[in-house]
Amino acid sequence: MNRVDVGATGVAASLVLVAVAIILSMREHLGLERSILWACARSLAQMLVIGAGLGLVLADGAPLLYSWLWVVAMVVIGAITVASRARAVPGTFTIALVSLGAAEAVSLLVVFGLGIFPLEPRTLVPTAGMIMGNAIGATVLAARRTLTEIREHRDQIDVRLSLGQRGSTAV
Amino acid sequence: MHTYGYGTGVDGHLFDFDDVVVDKAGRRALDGLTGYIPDHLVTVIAGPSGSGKTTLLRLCNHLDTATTGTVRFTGRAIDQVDPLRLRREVGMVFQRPTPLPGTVADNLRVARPTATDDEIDLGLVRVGLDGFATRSADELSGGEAQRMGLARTLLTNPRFVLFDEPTSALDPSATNDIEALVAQLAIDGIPSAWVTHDMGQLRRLAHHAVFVIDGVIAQQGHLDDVLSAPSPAIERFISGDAQ
Repeated sequence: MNRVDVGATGVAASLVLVAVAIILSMREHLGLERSILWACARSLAQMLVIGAGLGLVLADGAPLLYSWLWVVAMVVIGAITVASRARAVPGTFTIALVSLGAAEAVSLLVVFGLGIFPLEPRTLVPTAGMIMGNAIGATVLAARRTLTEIREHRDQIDVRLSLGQRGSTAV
Repeated sequence: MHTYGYGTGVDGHLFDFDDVVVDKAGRRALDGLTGYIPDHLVTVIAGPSGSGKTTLLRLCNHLDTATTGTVRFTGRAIDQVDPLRLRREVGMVFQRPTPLPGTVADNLRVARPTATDDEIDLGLVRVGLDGFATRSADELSGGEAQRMGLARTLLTNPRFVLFDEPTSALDPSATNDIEALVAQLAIDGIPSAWVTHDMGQLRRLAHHAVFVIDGVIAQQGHLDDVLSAPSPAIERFISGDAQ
């Protein structure tokens, strides 16, 4: 596998952009310095953990099972992300878990079932990651849109409920 | 005192409220409310805006639930009653006329999908909308839409109907039509509870009056009894200070 090292210069270059954001926040009195620093530290920690994990999953000779476990973890973390971005929708975690899992399963079945890519860690992990990235966005959008529709049609839903319709029918 | 000549009658309780608290949207809507709604003629629930009248009504239809305390329907805790059955026994007409998509007949069939054309026509005649079955529901005037809403509710054959300020968006003529309909229904054996902050409407419609002020029942009883000896809070509401 080709190896790309991010040296001290690369890290310093990326931190310059963070420093620019902090300076702008201070100059404009936006009060965002603490949030930017916290987000930066959190991202760094997340990247280190993910990097270490990917190192194991994509290591030469690593079993394909590690990659499948990685995909399962992505689905679970994706569902947590959707639930946190659409808190007002009840039961979002379970719905997101099923929908993200189904999206991954169907898409991976097409990609690898039809032999578009060979099924190995270096193809499975990035393909699943791209599918997950798009699916999370679509699921959050669908959850928020559903909530907006319910709020806009609350009167009609109340009427239907008051006439004895079940919640699922009324919505 | 009321306009429609109900007579005296006997009051049995349909709903009982015992120390009911409702917290919603970060505020306390009902604050230890205790009282009852009789199963007889028209009960008018009056009080200033934001006093908890609508919340009290929505509790009766299980559209809201009590945070603490007990609501009883015919003596049974309301959370032990199947809400779908409860809502067909206790109909509700809302503040804003709410036509659903489709024709007037389509709207009525939401209440009873198996209703025949004759049943639809009879339901519309009952509310003075004969010949409206094929009209598009969103072309009705406010008063017509509210009467259609009542016909829709009545198609579930309710034993009691809750009215949440149903005439607040209507002109005086349409208001009179709805009030007369509700009074006639009560005389015909379908009692109701009617929310208003309009004292004139209270005097015209009420057999039994319930005054809700600051999330509690300040006083309730036969309209004549309450108005002959109102509590200071109710006197303030009647004189307009509590509006």
